[in-house]
Amino acid sequence: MSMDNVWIAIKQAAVGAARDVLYPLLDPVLPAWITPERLMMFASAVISVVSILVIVPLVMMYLTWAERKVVGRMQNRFGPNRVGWFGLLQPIADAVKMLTKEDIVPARGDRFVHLMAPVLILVPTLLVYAVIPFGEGMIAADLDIGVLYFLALSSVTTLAVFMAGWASRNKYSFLGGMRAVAQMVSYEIPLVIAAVVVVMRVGSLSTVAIVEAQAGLFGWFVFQPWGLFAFLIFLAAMTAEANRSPFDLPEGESELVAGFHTEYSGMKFGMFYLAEYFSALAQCFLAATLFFGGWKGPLLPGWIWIFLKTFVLVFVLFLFRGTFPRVRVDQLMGFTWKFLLPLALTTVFVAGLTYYLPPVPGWIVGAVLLTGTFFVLMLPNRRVTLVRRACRLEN
Amino acid sequence: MYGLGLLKGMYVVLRNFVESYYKPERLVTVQYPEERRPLPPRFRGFPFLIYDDDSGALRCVACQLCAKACPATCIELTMAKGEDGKPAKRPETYTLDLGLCMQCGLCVEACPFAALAMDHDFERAVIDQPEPLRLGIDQLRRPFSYLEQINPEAANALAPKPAKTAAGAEERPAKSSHGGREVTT
Repeated sequence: MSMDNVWIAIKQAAVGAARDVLYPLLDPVLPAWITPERLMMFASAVISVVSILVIVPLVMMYLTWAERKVVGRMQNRFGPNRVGWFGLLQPIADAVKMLTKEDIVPARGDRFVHLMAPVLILVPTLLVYAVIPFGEGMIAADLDIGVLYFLALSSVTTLAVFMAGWASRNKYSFLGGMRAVAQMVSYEIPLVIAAVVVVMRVGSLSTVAIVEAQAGLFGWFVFQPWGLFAFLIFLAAMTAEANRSPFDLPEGESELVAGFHTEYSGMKFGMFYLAEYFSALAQCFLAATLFFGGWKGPLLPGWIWIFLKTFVLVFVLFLFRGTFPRVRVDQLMGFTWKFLLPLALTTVFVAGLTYYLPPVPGWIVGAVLLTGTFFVLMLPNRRVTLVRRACRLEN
Repeated sequence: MYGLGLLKGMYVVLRNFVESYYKPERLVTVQYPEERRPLPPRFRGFPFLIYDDDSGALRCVACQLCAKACPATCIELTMAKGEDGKPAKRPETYTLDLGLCMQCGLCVEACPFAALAMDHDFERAVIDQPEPLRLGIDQLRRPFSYLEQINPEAANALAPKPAKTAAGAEERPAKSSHGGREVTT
């Protein structure tokens, strides 16, 4: 038994135990329609759900720790190092703090919507993990429409963000919520088109099929010109979708206090925080699946490979946070509508064109076409200097 | 242009990140309670009253100049009376209100007898308040050797003067012996 399927073996043993041990034990009390097969199905589902519900929050907890450590080092600081060894207990201390804080609801706010928003933002961000393949056969639900399911569910969070802003009855919350909706709806389009490029080449929406199509030494889609550009578009759009710096306008404190979660405190605020990291992590998992060959990789077992690739992408997000200042609203909208969207459409075209060409000329034609488009799209996106604006006004 | 600025910025940040692990001079943070930087000699904490190591007598002659110089009026002192009922040129009470003192050092500058100096103790925070914030003579007195230890520069400048003033003010009969020492130093 290789390390590759040790987890599958454990799960099969547990499911087998449900049939051989649990069923004979519970048979007298269970109703007749529960057959051993149904019990096994149930046990399998419970094991998948519980392992996701344990591993993802655990990874998220240490993601917050890692982010503070990494961003600290980028600014030549130490980061948290007081609570526990290397500050490893910091997430627990933060969680205790969150849970013990007072829960305040604005007096004139909508209490029910105010309560539902953090719940509604958290549920879809956890549900999307069902279609992420953590290794060969290590997927909670291998849906035929995996990518569609992921994108559809992750866009539900937009609604929760707007609910939070609306229910708070606070101008800053409301403005932050509106900005969040505008931003997330705009960036949804390049994000989906970048994913569509991959779906188009593979011919399947199933995440497992997408990973299977990326076998071989340079089989990862990111080594194709259209794959690289689709990945870059996906990376930018994903950063904006997860409301992370430099696209963290919905919570830009210099203008909107804390955006849509201004009026949230205690664990309700903590749930927004959780959801932000859950969705960032899920998007990184999806990017690793779509463009970096998922669990495919030499030597190491698959589940280590996908975590490795995901954490490299998460590190890139930390690097963004450590490097870039927050963009302006008009820059944000201009970037997606005037740059990302045309580039994404060109990538779709190039991916379709090179599908009918032999590999090497296809690679060259794709690279030339996409680089050309990149430079052409720079022209309408030039920075408007004061001199140029003055010329425009004169004409 | 063309996104190169983004890459350049990310490279700089990445270099900061990597180098902070093997270049100790990059990490300028001092882990305070365990690790301390030496205080500069002229650091201004709260003022203290200097007494001579040999005699144990305070240099203060209760002239009230420090109390008058204090902008926050945090110093209160009264002059002691000798056995003969005359003023004894030493303080009977001397209180410094820590709640008012802003560590400006004007009292030290005003003192003509070099009887005051600024302390290096700045960690005055306490969890409860077992004693009032008004310090008396007992809490304020420090030996001259302590000043030599924390601020040798000031101690050198002040060394000859106190011998004269303290001797002249407090122990008038013993002036000759002290005066002899003064010449040698």
